[in-house]
Amino acid sequence: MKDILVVIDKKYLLHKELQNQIKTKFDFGDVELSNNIHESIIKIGENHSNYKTIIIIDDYAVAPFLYLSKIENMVVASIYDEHSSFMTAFHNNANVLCLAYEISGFELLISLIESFIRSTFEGGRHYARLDMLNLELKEAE
Amino acid sequence: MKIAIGCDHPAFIRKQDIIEYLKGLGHEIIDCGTYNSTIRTHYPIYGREVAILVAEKKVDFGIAICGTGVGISNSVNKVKGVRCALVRDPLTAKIARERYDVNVISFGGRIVGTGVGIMIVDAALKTKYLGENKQFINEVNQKIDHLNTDQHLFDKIIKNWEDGKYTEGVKQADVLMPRVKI
Repeated sequence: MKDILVVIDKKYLLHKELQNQIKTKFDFGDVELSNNIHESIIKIGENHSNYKTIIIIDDYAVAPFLYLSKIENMVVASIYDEHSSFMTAFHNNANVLCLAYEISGFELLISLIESFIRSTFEGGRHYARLDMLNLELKEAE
Repeated sequence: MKIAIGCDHPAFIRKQDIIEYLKGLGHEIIDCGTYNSTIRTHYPIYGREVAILVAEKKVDFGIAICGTGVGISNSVNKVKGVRCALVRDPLTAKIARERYDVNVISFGGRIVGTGVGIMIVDAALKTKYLGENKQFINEVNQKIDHLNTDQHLFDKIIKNWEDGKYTEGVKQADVLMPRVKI
């Protein structure tokens, strides 16, 4: 799973521990720390095609969602529970996972990542919805 | 306030709970659908309807609900001029309003019960934006070039759906369209 980027806001007091835990537990591509999460979000928006999946951990999962969901082919999920993290991969084919360190405890953050990456897109009828999402931005160009 | 609200079929009952609550407070509700929990439909139809009403300032605020909230909130945010937060608690709704001036709130109808859903909506409606993060908000607002209000945008996909092209040839019931003129 080298094509996954994780970005963690340095304002999270446990950012170093989380970075280490993610690197140890998962075989991801890059697990980075951000000094300025707004700047990082915009940079991700410019370079997102370098990665299949992006995981961003900031305070409330609001800012990354606001910006990145406005980009074509990005399905962004602000996730706070394990059912949603599984379902958003399963039904939405989400490629951006936004987690909130002010809402989810350390262990839950790890569990949310795990349930997300272990889930695979069901396809089928869900493509109707994804086709609509893509059409919203395609026609707006 | 004038509030637009939309959902897909799994979240229908939750939408109805929220509508009943808001009407009880005296708000004017624009119900963008869907209108029952049995006919399979698609969250972008209703999310986009809510979003366009918000973007055109025909309503003061929007609420969008689907199973987890992810699908419909993405369709809402893919409309220019809309800032939607997907939340699971009133605190995050308050933060999203205070710091990012969100104008649509979304949550999962199969994640959040009526009690918390009402509190989320209350927090969103009563919280004022405090003027922070203007540069980032401007980046969000500029990310999409123009507002697309084409009422027929999804017609072909809906026809393909009803003809069974997404369901291995099994024809589907006619989708319930929003009963609101954009």
